[in-house]
Amino acid sequence: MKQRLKWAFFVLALVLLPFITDFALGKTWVRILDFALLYAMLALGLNIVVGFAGLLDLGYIAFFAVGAYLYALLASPHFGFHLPFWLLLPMGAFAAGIFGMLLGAPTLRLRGDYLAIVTLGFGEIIRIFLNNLDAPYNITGGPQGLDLIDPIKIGDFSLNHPLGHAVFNYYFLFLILAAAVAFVSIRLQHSRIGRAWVAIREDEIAAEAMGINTRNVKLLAFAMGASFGGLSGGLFAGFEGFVSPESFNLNESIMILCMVVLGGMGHVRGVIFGAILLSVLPEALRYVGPLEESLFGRVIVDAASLRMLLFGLALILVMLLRPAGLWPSGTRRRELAAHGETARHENTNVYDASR
Amino acid sequence: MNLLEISDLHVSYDGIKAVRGIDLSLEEGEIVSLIGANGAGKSTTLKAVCGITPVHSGSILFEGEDIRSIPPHMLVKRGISLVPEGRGLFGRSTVEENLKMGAYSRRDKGIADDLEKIYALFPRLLERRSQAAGTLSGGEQQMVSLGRALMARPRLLFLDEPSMGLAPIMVQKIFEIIRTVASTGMTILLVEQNAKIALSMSQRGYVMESGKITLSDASSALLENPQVKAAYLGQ
Repeated sequence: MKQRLKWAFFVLALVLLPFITDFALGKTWVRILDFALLYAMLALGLNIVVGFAGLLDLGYIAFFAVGAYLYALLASPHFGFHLPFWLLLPMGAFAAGIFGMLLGAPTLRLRGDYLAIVTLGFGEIIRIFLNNLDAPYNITGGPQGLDLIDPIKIGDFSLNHPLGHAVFNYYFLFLILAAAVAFVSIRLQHSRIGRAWVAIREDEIAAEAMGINTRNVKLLAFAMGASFGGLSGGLFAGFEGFVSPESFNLNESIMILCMVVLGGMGHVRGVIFGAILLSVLPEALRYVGPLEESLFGRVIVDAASLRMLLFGLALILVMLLRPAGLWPSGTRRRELAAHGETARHENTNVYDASR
Repeated sequence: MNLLEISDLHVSYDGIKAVRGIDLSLEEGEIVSLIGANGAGKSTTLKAVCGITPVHSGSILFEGEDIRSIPPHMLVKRGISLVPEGRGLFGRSTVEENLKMGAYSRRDKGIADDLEKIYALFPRLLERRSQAAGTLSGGEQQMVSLGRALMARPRLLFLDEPSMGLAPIMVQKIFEIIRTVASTGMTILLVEQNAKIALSMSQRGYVMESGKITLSDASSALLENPQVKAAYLGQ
């Protein structure tokens, strides 16, 4: 009962959040919340690959790009297709999943830094393709990107409808989908596949010796993670109404990885927390400039560079003080806290084997 | 018919010919040790049989059937279980999660019962069931690794250096447990550098040197063999 009441309050808070934010800070901040939810979905997708399966992926944004461009190409005047969103979102997720396997297949034997380099290259290849596929036939619109993308429409109601303002409509759509993605993540984590992911993350040879088909299980991790990215990509295209290659650069991949690592790899709630924090923090640091002016009467350090400096500092501090992430899962906490105890167990055991 | 029959096996990896034509066989219910120095090719032999390292040439018959082309995860289903060198535990997972991982390839209902059996065999692990496996002592970790392999209900158990990195008193303890497992009729191939303890509990033994089997005899005979004494028993 108490648990239910807590949940009810939590849901109520999430429903009221955009209105309170609008009242206190304005529509710009509701838009930032929308993006935070979008990033949460992306981070949860990357968490499957990095957090659950332990495969470092530095080109994750490519899957976001695949989803976004698929939506843009099939729901804009560019080719004259106007497919509905409920068809495009699953298509985007599916297409991104295929791309995920495409990346996974040749990299099955790679781990750690080597895998990171290949995935990084993959991310860049996708971006460069998008940038250059405007000649001889204009497919992606090149550096200009694609615009006038159809907004997401539910029935006849466009989410861009002035009624209730677009940022609120998208907030609720993203909220529902982010919750669904989180739910699927948690279910996956505790499934047979989830346990197989943990096993290959910790010791691949041992995982094989347990009877895990490491090849398929890894490919599945890439595909599942990528499909979450593709889904968010479609939402992004519908929300923004415009896509261009520069939204899908390496920085974005790294940002999403930071969300996963900072929040607590492998822990769904931690990753969501990390995603929200890292999408809100850079925006909040925009107030540094005005703050400087009010404190010292003039801008001493350029606000834009100070902002990134503070952001970097925050990341370093978190990694120093909380190496397992801000909100790590129980397993990781257990591992990091156990050193003193381990030593004690070791001693009692070695010297008292009769027990 | 032998349970496992290896003939003229050649294995190379990274350009090194690690195994150069060995013959080895195991009968059902037998405990056989494979001893030799570091780098003799013992572990490579095990990995090749388990399908983890590709075989260059030769044949590996399990229950009379060639298993060279069967991927490792399918071999587990057929009843070959490996306790890997260095134990290969899932360090962040708890003891119980590790043990349950051992039954990954099974879908029958006997898993919970088998878990109880493992706890009966290793009461120590019952106390530690919810502790992260990576935080256990070396001996306890070896128990988890052994228990995990048994959870697959193997017909053939490979033990790769179970004494590695353990205090002498713990080595005794682990080998007592291996003896208990063996008394249930399990077929075991024991790969060891600690020749004395391995030969003292096996029926037959093979001595491996730079990729070849140089001696093969009853364990009691090997223990008395002057060459073995000089090279592996320090006498």
